[in-house]
Amino acid sequence: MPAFFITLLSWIEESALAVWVGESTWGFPISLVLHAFGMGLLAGGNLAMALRLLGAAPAIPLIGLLRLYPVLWGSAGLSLVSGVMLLSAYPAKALTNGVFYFKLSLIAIGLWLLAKPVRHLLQQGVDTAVQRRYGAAILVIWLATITAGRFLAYTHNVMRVSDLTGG
Amino acid sequence: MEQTLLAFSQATGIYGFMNSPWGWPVIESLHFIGLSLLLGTVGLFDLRVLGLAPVLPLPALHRLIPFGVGGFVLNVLTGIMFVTSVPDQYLYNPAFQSKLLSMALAGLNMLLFYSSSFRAVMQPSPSARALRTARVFAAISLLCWAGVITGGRLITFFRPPFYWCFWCG
Repeated sequence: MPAFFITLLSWIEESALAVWVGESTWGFPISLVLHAFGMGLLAGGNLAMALRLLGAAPAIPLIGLLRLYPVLWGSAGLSLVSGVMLLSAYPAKALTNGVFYFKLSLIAIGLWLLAKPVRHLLQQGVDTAVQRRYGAAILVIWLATITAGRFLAYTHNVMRVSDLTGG
Repeated sequence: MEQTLLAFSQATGIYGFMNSPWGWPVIESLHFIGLSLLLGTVGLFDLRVLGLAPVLPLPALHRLIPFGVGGFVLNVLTGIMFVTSVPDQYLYNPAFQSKLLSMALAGLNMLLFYSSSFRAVMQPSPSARALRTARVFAAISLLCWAGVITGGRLITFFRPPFYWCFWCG
């Protein structure tokens, strides 16, 4: 493990935020609950969008789905803030686990899809075959993100920085 | 009660599966997927009733509700797998008890909504009065499901719960 990485992890673990999340009575549970709200709305909103693109509820106007974007970005923000809170308490746990980077990559792809091609699709309208392809991609990405997030609790090798340094 | 649930879990093979290396996380993932389906359809419908994205017609949006019901059914089934496998961690846990209570309230609220203002609010241009009533149902629905999620998330954090449950006695 490179020394600068250990230094970085220790710095995060000793930050004021980490101490509050990790040691106060409500810091950790509040972060968990907020992260669940953020996930439910962000992944859930994306699943609803995917279902529409896959052909369910065809009476929903595609262009109208753009009006859901503020909710999706808002819940992405909530997930990010609560995610940083959770990460701060146990940085070594997440940052030494490949599943965490896999989850972040999925989220990056999912948000990019939303911001670029799917936005374009909703504005311009495309044939149903293309809609279905994007619907399937969104569905797979967010189901995998949820699963990867859940598996983080079971695939870590260490909990604290001290587990890495033997201190 | 505890013994009955545990015996059911063992007799059906649920217990063995949940105690296999990836049993618990796989079922948890499904439970979170069900949560997202429910919030992404029913929660979205509630937000729409409350005034979000009026360009989306309510009857059209309502066509997504069966997927939310599917998510709920998935969560009842996966939930039974958790509870029967470690019943003592749930039955006496105030977070779980609060979760069940919130769920019952959400169900009651849903029944009242469908038997009162649902029909009126699904019309092409619903009356202001129907919309006002529907908004109350939508707000209660969102609060109840938020309560369900909060209770659910706290179950594992406060396991075992005995030290903070002031009404468990």
